[in-house]
Amino acid sequence: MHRFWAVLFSLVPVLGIGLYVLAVVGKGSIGGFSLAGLWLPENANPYTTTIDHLFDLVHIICGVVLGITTSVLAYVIWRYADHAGRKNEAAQYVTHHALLEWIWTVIPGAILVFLGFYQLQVWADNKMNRPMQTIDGNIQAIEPMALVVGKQFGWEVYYPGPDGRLGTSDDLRIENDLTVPVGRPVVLRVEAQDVLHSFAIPGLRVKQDVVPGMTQLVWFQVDKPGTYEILCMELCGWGHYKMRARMKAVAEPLDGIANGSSTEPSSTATPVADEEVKD
Amino acid sequence: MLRTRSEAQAGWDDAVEPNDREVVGRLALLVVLAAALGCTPPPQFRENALEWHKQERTARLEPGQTFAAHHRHDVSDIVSDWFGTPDDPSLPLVEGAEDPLAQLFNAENLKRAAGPVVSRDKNSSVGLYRRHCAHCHGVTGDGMGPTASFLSPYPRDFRLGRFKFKSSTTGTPPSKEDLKRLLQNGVPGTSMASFRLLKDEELDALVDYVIYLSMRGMVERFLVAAVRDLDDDQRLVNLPNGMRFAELPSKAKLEIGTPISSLLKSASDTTEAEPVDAGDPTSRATEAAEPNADSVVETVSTALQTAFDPAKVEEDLLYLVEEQLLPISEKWLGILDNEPQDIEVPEWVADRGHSDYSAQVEAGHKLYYGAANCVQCHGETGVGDGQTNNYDDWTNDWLKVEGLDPNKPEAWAGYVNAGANPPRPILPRNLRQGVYRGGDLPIDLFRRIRNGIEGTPMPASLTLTDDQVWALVVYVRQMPYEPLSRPATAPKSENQRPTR
Amino acid sequence: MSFLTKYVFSSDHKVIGIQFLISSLIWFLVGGLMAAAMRWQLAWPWSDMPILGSWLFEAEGGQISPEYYTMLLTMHGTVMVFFVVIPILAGAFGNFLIPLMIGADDMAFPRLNMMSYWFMWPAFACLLLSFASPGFGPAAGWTSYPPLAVFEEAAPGSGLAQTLWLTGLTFVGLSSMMGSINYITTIVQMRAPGMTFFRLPMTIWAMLVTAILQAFALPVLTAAVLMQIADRLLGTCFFIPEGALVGDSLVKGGGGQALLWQHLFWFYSHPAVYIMLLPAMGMASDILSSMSRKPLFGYRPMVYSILSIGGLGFIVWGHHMFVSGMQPLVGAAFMLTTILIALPSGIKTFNWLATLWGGRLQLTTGMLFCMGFIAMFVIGGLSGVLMAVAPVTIFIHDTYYIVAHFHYVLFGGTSLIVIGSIYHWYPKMFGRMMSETLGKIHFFTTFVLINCVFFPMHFLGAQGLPRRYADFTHTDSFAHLQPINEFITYSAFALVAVQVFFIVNFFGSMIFGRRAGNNPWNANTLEWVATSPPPHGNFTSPLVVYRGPYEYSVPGRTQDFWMQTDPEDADGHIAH
Repeated sequence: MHRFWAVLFSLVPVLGIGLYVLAVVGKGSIGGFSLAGLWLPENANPYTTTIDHLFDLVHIICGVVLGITTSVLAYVIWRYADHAGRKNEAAQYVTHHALLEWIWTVIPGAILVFLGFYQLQVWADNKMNRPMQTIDGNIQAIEPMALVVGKQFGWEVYYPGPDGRLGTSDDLRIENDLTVPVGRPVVLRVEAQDVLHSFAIPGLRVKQDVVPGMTQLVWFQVDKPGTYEILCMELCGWGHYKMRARMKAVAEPLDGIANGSSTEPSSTATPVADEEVKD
Repeated sequence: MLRTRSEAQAGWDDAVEPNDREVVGRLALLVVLAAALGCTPPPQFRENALEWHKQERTARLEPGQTFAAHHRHDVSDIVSDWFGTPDDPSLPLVEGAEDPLAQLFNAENLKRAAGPVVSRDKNSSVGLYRRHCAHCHGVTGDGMGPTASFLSPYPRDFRLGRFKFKSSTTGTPPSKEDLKRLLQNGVPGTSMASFRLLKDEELDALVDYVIYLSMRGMVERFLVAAVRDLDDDQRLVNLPNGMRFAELPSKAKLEIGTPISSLLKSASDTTEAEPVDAGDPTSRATEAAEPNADSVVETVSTALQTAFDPAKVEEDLLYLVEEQLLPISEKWLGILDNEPQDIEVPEWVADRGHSDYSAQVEAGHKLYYGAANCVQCHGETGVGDGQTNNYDDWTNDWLKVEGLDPNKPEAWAGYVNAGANPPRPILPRNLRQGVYRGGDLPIDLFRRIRNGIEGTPMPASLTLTDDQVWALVVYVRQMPYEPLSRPATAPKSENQRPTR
Repeated sequence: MSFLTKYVFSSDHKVIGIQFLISSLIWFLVGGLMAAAMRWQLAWPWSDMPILGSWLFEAEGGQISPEYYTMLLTMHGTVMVFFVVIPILAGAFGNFLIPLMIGADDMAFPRLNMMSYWFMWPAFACLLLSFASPGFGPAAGWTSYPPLAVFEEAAPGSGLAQTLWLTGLTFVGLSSMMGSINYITTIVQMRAPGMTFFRLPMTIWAMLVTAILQAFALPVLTAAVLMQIADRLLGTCFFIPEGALVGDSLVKGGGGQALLWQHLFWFYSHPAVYIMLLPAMGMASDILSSMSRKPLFGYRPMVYSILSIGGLGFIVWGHHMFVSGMQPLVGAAFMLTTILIALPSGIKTFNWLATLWGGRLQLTTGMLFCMGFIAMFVIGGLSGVLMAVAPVTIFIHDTYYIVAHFHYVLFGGTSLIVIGSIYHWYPKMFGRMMSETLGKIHFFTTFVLINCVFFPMHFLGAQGLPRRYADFTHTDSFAHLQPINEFITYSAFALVAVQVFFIVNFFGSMIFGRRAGNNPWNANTLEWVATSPPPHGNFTSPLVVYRGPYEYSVPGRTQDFWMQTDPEDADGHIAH
């Protein structure tokens, strides 16, 4: 019987790591369900490729640790379980082993400290260092191109109107529809009107909780034209699941409402790829 | 020494194992039974208990006295015969694709919007209404879904056939484009979310279904009103006592009546259309009147009959179709050729930099306090604190009819029991927040002022010129940014740095 | 003694422990059924939900409303955290084991102990009443973040139900507070002669640190809860920012900060994560050592790990708030402390494995559950490392990756130990053995199904699937994941169903189980000296402790265990 349990426990590292590998490789299928598309979705944001890199790195480290520890667990059951065959074999009397303990304190500790410092730059790039641009020889932080306000249950997008400034009476508002340019840094101001929401775009690895009474900035760059989903990722009430918007990344110059040249959305239904860009 | 495994194992396992199995088996059976019991029958359209209650009260029946059961049966039977069920919606007496009603409703659209949510079939989007709408607006479209009572304002009750935010004038139904735009933009400041990410054809389907629900609700209300003056020994459709309309053999029902298309044709051909069969032509008003029981019912039926007379039944039904269904259908059919007015937007409206801009703001300001008299309801400072004791038509429909005091819950408890929401006053918009339910494009605001908002105290301003309305629009649009009473949520400074 | 004083209003720590155990297990079932209802909705959104649907939503054809789903997820979390895991560890096992393991006749304050149980009942009542309130219960998540939880207009359950929820939480807090004061006093003051701190079993160490964590963190939560009640009922504005608009009505008041609640809440609730884990780790250490007939490897490092987890536990709460809008520099600091806290947990895992290595493993049901715990805790702990990496959290925050993580730790981890401990200490509680056959079937099915339910959630999370959504099928990004959701749902139903083996075993063994002797597992610790079940007062004669709790298979002895009270020394001489 102990062999049975040993085999069961050995499934933990085998399947645990195996399924991950299959998912990363994105091939094969289980029970008719394809494993493709189970890992990180495509990332179109160059600011966050390092996040994907960290995600993979930590998974590799963790996978190694998982493999070692759970394999040992399965092995001890196989080897050391009490059964009729080892009636005369007593358990070893070992209370501690200083060297071993130092090894498994220092090595994981070193790895963890390394991870801690290794990630700081990525954190800073995404949450602290707002992208800069050069205007007339002066380097300055990029100003937000639009204001996105979360409310129950949707995202209101405000573009500066003809005067080019946010927060004036000619601002143009549209629900759940954001248009941004491709290939250059975009800064958005995000706010909440009523309760907590979270401005999240999984396809760009962007996420920022928005808190009523606070103003936050998010920035990213979209390198691939297309349509992305903006989701709310902080429980905001019964309609939480309904709260999603569309973000279209198009080549410049923007047209329609995003450019302040029209009061109607540039196109309500046509996919971006088919869209003719006009002046 | 340590005991061996076999010793340690010798518990009750072996002795009582059969019992174990029995118990497990019974429990499994219980689970299966519970699951079987858990199946819920498909939902049905809910009877308009509110309208019944209102008619009972206003017909001055003795307190506690209700209409005869066969009246309620007749109405619900006829309505479900004409409109089907939530899982299987149908249209009254439609014949062929040429039928005008078939043009108003795309049959495919109704099918797509109705029915239960089927999520397993990835490519089909049926059950749209119940997936996205029913938990607020109710399966019946009565605005009484499970979420409804928590929302402010209450979700719309489609059964009155009135819609607030549309390009058309008060009294005419909204165009399909209006309803679709409303789905795309939501209604800011309410719980109505924007459904912009739904596919175009899904939105079309939902629009059709909402019109269908609205029509169904209107017909039901008219039929209830028609019952109002009938005696207990009369019936809407002359069937033998105790026989229900729904029990009629389907063959009999099919033979009854002329297809609605031919009725409509004759109705639209000429205003003094020939009476098709029975009934009084003058009472068939082309603009749908409110349920008006006085003129409707006298000729409907007399005493209960004992024998089943198909001819008489047909006559009664045809009369009902003419009196109740046709006006409503015609009203909705009007939207097919209801072209939105072409309104020219002056250049200075959207452009703060335009030279006329500030003069127009000033003109709007004067109008607000003067000729347009916005100040009466929206208040001195525009925060919506003027007249705040009004109720909208959906509430007045029953509250005013009986002259009930909204502040005395015991007075209208019966209505709440019948499904009404507790009355809440309709508040004039706080114009300092920049939240405009009907949309905040200049053209939206123009229409709100020009046409009024149906069902609310906001009147159509017919005396103002177009330019005056535009001036008001410009003034209203910059009210949230006026420093004097700038709302707390407005950004404190432009392009404010993040607080961190 | 009447039946009432003996079994209901008893001040005997064992009776109170069993009362906690049974009421928590009942809530466990309730919480599990709620999870099943949620899974139904996730696999087949808006379809006719059995029982609940026809009971509450007949007019909609059994299709639940979205706020009902939000209520379910709120109450599932609340019930599982506050009514199951915390009371079953500290309340049930803490109560039952502490006096027995340190050789005391009862708790230091028996009546306070009784009160700590009976203060759970007002909390139960509040929760049950909130189910009957408008909206069928609170719906702001178990974390009850304001402003959603404060504005009545914002959520259907944020009216009376939310107030009841907060009141219930206050009672749970009072109960825990009474318990923790009692545990600290008992452990410090009432140890048997010879029971030095470094002769305490790991369970007791863990309970001590847990009690200290509770005593220091709970006042903060209680204060925060009272502040939220004040915001709701008295018109204060601790958590209400200025100028919030709900719908289009301006919320009165303002000037508060919504993030303040998150800080206060997580200042309690992150230590609470360890409150929900440390006792399980302690009990696992005891079971593993006695069942592998081998001393616990590295006893002192194990103690220091527990202490450092307890200490670090107070300065890592900010990792719940990486993307909350908190100043990113603070986030960076929290990231470093959070990464460090992985180390002591890792050391404990390695020590457990070293304990098993070279042992003579008795694969009882309790032992299997413990080893299952290690496997699950390794997975849950390692995914925790990923979460400590703040930039990665930007992506996986509030996705199913988080759901997978804390279910691996709390369900795969703590709950397995709780069940394993029931199998292990059941003989002491009820004087009879549980069925090993049923137990092993239970372990096998539970272990496999837990992984079927929660492992695929990692992949859902890697796709960015948000948690707390009532329906994914209408989104573009996630509709293709629906087959996985269905698979998880089938597994979850099976997981709930196989608990029948446990229920039958638990109650059946009270009648049919073989009578257990005083020490059925040949373990060393003091509770096995007492009779099974121990009488009121626990021990018939005064105890003296001669050695640590883990002297198994000491070379030169005929027996492979050496009880702490055994006066014989290694050569067979009786100590004087």
